[in-house]
Amino acid sequence: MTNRPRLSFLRRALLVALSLAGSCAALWVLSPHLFLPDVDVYFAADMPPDVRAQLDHFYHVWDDPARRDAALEAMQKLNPEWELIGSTFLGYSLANVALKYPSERERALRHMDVIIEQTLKKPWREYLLAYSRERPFVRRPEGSLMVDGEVSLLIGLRRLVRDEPDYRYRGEHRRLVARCVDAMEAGPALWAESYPDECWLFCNALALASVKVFDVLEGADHSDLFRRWEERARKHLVHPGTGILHSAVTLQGKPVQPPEGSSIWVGIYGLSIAAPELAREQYERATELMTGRIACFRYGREWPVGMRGQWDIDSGLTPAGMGPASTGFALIASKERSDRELVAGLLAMLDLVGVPREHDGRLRYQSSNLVGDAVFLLGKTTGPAWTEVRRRDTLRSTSR
Amino acid sequence: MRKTWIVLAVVGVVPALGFYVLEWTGATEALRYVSTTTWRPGSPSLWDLACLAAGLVTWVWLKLLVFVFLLAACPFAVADLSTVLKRGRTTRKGPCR
Repeated sequence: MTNRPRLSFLRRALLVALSLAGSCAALWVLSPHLFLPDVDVYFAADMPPDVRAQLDHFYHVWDDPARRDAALEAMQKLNPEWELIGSTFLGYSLANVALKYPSERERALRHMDVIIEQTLKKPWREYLLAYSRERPFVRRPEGSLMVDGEVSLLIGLRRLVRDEPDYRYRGEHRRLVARCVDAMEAGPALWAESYPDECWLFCNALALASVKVFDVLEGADHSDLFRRWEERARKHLVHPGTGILHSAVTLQGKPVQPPEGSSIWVGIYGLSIAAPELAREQYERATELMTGRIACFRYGREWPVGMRGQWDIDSGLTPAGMGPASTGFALIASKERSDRELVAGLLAMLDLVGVPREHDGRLRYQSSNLVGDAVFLLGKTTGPAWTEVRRRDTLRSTSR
Repeated sequence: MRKTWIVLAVVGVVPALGFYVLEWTGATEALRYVSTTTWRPGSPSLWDLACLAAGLVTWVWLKLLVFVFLLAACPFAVADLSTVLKRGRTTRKGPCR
């Protein structure tokens, strides 16, 4: 008799445990239906409500000079690169928005022009982390491909949307693209420095994309550079254990950073128009080795399966291998490649850990910041710009 | 039976609603430290870290874990309901027979 309440408690505890386990199993099975968003809306003709709300958040920030300066200064304090990436990636998103949604074109262009003007105001060194001043760049004249490539791509995409004959930054665009090409051609590996003796895939791939955009705008032809870059990258710059491109090499092509999620996805994004076959192969390798899954939720890994690197300012914290930067950038690459399954899983994860909150119709991710939000927006909107580049490139080659 | 499903439902719902309380107090602003990679001693403060943890846990609870507990409560609620329907009255402890 004295044991009866104890047994009853144990039985109840066992039943609760079983019920919780059954509930977890049921949710695991049902998770695709419960948590995966409808990704078709990001490929449809109408603007999805979350893209609308994110755009309104950015317009709200950029329309008020005091608010914009405060936001950019906050990014500059955290990481000077983030000020540049936050601005340029927002600009890339606006180009895609302008190309896809005609009713949004004027507003997006107006904001792109403000972003370009603001970005060009600062000397290029102010966008680099402090360690860039510890030693000189190897190549002379000094310059960072990170700044030249990202800014020239920004201006190029603005011109892709609308290219007036008297557009004020045409000259600056030509100058920046020429600097990118000269810097890459000067390096034995065809990779140019972003930081002293550090040539990052992220920056080189975006610079190549920028040169490609320039080609279709001005009728130039850098296909030989693209071909040689791809050839050398395949031969010398692929990590032997994974088949994925190194994140950074020296000017001589010696690896300094192994494959990382915070580099490869943007590398794939840039290469998609400059070296499409390499981009396709890299995407296959990266999705195999640099993504993870929990039920239907997908995430980007900072390092390939079986590898472990050091946490740094690019990787952020990586609990259980999940890379916040890698997850955001993976969204860009997977959307660009129309990989709907991965896009859906990444957006579900973003909804779970990004804490999206909407106030007065403006959406921002609370566990993110201006640069993260810009990356997510580009992930949702990317596609039309590269499609337009390909279309014009095909037109050019058929008319030759 | 009734106590079990009510406890499960409360454990599922209350932390989830806690997110809105944290948001109302402004504590969820600490979530921005998730994307700050330059943590230094004292920044974020212990209070910020506590708010960050509470914000994240309650958000994940709201989006995901609430379903685990509510679904787990269902069999007990159904059993309770069927007992009520069969006996025509609520279950309660009676004298041992």
